[in-house]
Amino acid sequence: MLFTMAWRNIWRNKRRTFITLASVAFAVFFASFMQSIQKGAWDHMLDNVVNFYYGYAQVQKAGYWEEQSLDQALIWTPELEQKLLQTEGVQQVAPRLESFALAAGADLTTGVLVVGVSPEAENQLTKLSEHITEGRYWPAEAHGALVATGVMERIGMSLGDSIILLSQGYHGVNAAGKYPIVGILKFGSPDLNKRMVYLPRQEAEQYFGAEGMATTLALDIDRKEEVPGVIRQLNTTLDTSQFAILGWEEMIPDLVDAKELDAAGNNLVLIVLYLIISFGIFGTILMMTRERSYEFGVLTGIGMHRWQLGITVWLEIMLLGLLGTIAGILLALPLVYYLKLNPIDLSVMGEAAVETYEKFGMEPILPALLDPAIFFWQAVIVFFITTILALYPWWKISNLQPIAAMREG
Amino acid sequence: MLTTIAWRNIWRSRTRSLVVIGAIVLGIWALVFMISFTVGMVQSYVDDAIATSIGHLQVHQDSFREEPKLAYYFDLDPSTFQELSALEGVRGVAPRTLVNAMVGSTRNTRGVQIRGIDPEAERLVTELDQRLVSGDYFSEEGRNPILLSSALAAKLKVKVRSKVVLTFQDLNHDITAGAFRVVGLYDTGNKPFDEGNVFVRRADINRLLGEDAMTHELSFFLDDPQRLAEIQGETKTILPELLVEDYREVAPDLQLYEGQIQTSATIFMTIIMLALLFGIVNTMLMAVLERYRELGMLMAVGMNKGRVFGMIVLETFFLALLAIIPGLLLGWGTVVILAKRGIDLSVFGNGLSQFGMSHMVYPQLQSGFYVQLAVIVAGTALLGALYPAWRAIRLRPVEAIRKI
Repeated sequence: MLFTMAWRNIWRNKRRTFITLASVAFAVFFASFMQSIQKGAWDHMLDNVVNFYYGYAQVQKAGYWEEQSLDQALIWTPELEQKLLQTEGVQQVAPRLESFALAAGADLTTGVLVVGVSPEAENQLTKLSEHITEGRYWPAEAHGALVATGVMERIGMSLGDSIILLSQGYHGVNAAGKYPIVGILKFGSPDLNKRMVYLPRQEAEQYFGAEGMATTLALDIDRKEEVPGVIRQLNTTLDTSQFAILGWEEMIPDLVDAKELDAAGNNLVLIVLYLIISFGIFGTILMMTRERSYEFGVLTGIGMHRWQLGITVWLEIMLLGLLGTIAGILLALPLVYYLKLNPIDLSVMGEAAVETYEKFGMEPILPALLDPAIFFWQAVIVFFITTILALYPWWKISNLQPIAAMREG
Repeated sequence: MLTTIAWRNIWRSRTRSLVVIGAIVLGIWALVFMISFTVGMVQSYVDDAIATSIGHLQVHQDSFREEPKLAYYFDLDPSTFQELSALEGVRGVAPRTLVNAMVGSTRNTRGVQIRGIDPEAERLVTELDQRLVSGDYFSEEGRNPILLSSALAAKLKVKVRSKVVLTFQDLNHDITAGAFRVVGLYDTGNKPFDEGNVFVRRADINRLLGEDAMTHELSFFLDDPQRLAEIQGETKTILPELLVEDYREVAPDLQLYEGQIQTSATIFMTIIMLALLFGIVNTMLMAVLERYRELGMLMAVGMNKGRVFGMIVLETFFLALLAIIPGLLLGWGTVVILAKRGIDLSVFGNGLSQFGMSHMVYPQLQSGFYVQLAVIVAGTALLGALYPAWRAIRLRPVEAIRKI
């Protein structure tokens, strides 16, 4: 009954309703669009770094994270592997032996990260083979190096050439080796592109003089949400004085911080936008209350409870907000969906733009994220705003003097 | 006459007028704040990049810029160096030898770029000596001193007076190594730069490379950045066979950021103005519709359409004007205060240093922007007045009077 009244009331002044609806729809459309792009871009970037390299969680020797050196490597045993694989949620374990090295081509050098990996396990975790652009992924009998395109450019080499790696091995032994380049890798993350060189684990162990050792064990976990559970289990099954278990958020804290900061900046814009729209809605409410004070007077005069009247008005405002929200979401959905399938390509902005994004470790594309939570939150915000604004007519109604109100009108 | 009527009209519905004025004030204030924040952030990034690594002008061999090979160096003779340093408006000229290398301690190794510098000249250009957090700057004494960033030192597990080994290829592609002693640790606040660069005396690295006059880069810092183009020209005549570029050419991303300010300002403005437009149209339309009868009467007694139209537009304009002045004052006051105190973003952790930005932001804004903003807000108000005013002149006096 009250609802029907409220519904009819908002259509009594169609033009005003439409303007109010449009302003709410605009705010919701814009807010959900902006957040979808912002969250999408960051998730894409974090996923690039996490999925293509770190993995959602890692096991390391305690102390390795603070001092990333071969001397802090752990001994990789079948027992340890068994223990990890028995953990619920862990699909696969990819052991890695990694350290920095100077890579040399014919007459150019660059600093690289040499990673010794188990070809099969690594491929299952990071889909390394899908990043091969030239040459091929290691067969069962693996030898030779897989080198990222950025490194290839920097040292001026091509497939089939030999790359020279100079470094310091386990306990400071000299490490020098020459490896044929059997495959070229291209990553989304410019940062990985510029420094990755992969070797099969056996060759890396010989190269660094670290037989049977690994610096990190990357765990293959299906979903982000399972990470806390896996970490909790491992903290009980593993000896934590010997091993450290790290989740992805701990491994890239700066990026997680930067994401928060960027989100904070966007939220500021959205807060201002919603505030301005609130002023607009308030203008509507003000008018609605004023021009209907006669009607309110009559209604209370003939015995309608003030709370009933209050609820009707609140429902009206709520309906305006809700309809506006729905309209805004309906406008934003197709656009966001389209941009999810066809990410915005920033390379049209020119070479300089691409370079800038690379400098920040980002691929110059912005895929949108289609997350129902984003849309849901806009509805919550609008609900919150309209409820607060409805306090005004509510207050007016509760102080209403029927006789005076009817005279005024 | 029309002005007086319009002015009085807006005070007939005081609360409504104040709501609209409030919305516009908020919009203006928010725009001033957001844009000054962006300008402050970008400007400090650009200034930092110029001050800590790039300088205003750089000189290289043509081919070094395409491919940073060790072999693409030029010889810098002392008299040319003197001549360049003496150019008017130049605070300092820093010659650098740049070599890709691996730095190793007993515990760890990292890939870095060696920056072989002349301690005195570098001090004038990048104020490297001001950025030390422990130890001392280069002195004349000591064999092979080296400065590392504190971040790199932590990774290598070395301290002041520890020894590190630099390994690199010399001009004949032979692997060469030299032992260096850490004399000091620096911190520029730019994490990628800090982790990737070590400083040694140019004389030391050149001796290891066997080329005393070897220089890959000259970096200039100007007292007077206004004279950039002029000094660039003078440098070109002194060094005709070399490539002389300003910081925008050296780091195109800096130029992009400077351009980015305008882009993001435009985006912010469009969003806020659109939101304001809804409010203005809504309010004025109401003002027109509730005065239907009155407007009908005015037209019946002979007020022509042009005047009615003008009156509505004037009312809107006054509303905007009443908002622009306090809005701009509020925004300006905020910028003045924050420009002095700065905004500390360290609550968001180290996210910014990852991107080479400082966590303190000092908002700033040129005065021209305030004028621009005032014009745009007034324009938006006029735009918002058009529809309501058009509705007003379309009414038929007789019907309007009959309507309650």
